[in-house]
Amino acid sequence: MPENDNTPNLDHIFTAYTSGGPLAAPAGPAAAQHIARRRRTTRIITAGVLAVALLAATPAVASTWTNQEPPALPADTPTPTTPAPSLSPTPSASPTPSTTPSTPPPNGQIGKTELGNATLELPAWPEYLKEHCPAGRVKFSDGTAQLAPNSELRIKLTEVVHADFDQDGAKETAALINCSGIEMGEARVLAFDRDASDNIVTMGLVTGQTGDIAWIRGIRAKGTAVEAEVVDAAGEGVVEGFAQSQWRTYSWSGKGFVQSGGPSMFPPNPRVTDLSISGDDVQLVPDGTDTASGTLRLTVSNQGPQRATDPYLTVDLPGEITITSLPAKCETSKTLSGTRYRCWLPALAVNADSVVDLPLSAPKSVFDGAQPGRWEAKIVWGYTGTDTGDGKGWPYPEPDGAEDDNSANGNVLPAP
Amino acid sequence: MVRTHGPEDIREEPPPTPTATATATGDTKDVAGVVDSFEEFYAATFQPLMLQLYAYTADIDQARDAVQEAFSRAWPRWNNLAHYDHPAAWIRTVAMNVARSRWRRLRAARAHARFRRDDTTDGPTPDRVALARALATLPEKQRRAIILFHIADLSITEIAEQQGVAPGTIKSWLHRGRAALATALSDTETEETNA
Repeated sequence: MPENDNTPNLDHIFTAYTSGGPLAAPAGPAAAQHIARRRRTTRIITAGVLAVALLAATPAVASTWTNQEPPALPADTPTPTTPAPSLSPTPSASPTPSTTPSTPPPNGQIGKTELGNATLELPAWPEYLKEHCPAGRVKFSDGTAQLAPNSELRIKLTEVVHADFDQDGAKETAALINCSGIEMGEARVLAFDRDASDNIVTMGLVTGQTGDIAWIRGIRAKGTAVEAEVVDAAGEGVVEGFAQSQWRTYSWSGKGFVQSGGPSMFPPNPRVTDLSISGDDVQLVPDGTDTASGTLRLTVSNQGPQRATDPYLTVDLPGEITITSLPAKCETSKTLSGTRYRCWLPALAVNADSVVDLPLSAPKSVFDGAQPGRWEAKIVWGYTGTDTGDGKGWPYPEPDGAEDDNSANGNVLPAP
Repeated sequence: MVRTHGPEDIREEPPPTPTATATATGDTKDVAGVVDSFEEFYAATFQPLMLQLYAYTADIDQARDAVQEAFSRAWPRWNNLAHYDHPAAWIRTVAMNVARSRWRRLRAARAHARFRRDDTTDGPTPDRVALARALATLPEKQRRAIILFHIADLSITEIAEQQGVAPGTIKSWLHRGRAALATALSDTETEETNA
């Protein structure tokens, strides 16, 4: 890449650019982790709070339901006496004229391909998605729709099932749809039918992520109802196996869809408990000509509400400070600035404490004119240590706002 | 491909392949192999990434939020990323994607604003400002290629692998980008002289 004499010397300019001082003060890794954790736990905990509200509202919902005479559930609902119209991939075929005075119900059984290339009327998305996810009359193409080609989020039609929700003798269509992008998204189940002119019309929202539903994983038809597999936690960083799932049943009430079967709320997630760790500065006392020793005493607590089956302790020590006697199940590795110890501790019951004494040793020279060393420790649980796939091996999240006491640090000082 | 949990459809920035080879020359090319500590990785790579993102955005706050956002996204995946040969390449790709999207920028700014520290640095020097502003006049692909080559210190082969294009395309972007950059820098100098 030759440059003529009038060209600025780019290589020198770039060398100068990269060799100067720091550009900005970093917010730090803890701040980055905090944001990630907050994103991870927000859904879980928001769902938990809403679950309480839903529980409180359940009697009212139930009484409303009984007044409306729920549709017969489920399974062996007699099949309509009118033969179901045969499926045609193209809606252009005109309905067969009926010899009876009443017109047969429209065939609302719409295939995934047709639905995914139709213009559908979608109800508004929750407030936080409104500016990213189209609603109203939305044109789908290949099962997707988005506000603009470069939109961060897009709607995707993922599953379609058919059942005669309104018991008019013809099947309708329930579709699992989500609008999602990086780190955020919302799933919902919508029901569609056809009108007398064969146009696709929206029957209504079967369910969205209301109450404690953090995501909808799948749908299936059952009798005249649609069942949705809902989970209580979703999103980036949620460890595999963490979320609880349930199948909940929804039926057409004549005006809209209401839950007619299955559990109405999740039990507390058995993988969420509030662990904490604390410890003080350590003073190292000379114990020979060249070395000094002391004890790092860490107290690990479980504030509940679940028993932590496999607390996982990480301790970072600087430079040449080492732990001379480790708990039974530990691994040691070098870091850029010292040593990391990772230990699985015995199970910790609710409201129980566990004291871990770690004997430290360091050459006395460590303290020659240097800053005091610092220890750092963290406690989590649910960490399997397999690390082979995303989510596998990651610890369980803490209750919202309870993660700050999952780490502790202190000084390692020479005895006065 | 890094896979997230939960929302099944969540799309992810394609990370550089875990096995990408490179001849490191310091910089963020990374603390190679398995990096034990996210904290240490952050400490080692934040400033080099800031230099790259500032050159990319010509805006210190945008660059800082984009880098911080990328680290936030990296952390839940850290067990996997740490095994990449060049985890910083993943961070850089994500940060550049954040910087390029107005919505992602705003979201990152909202998320990270309260963690911004009172800046104890002096801010970018006039030379750095001039270079970043001149780079901002370049088409995005040329600017990106120049930053990866001259600031991230990647080879043309590495850039081509990361960008998913032929090495010849990168050479072309670099050639045109350098010419445009030289002109932009000359113009800046002329303006300053005239002023």
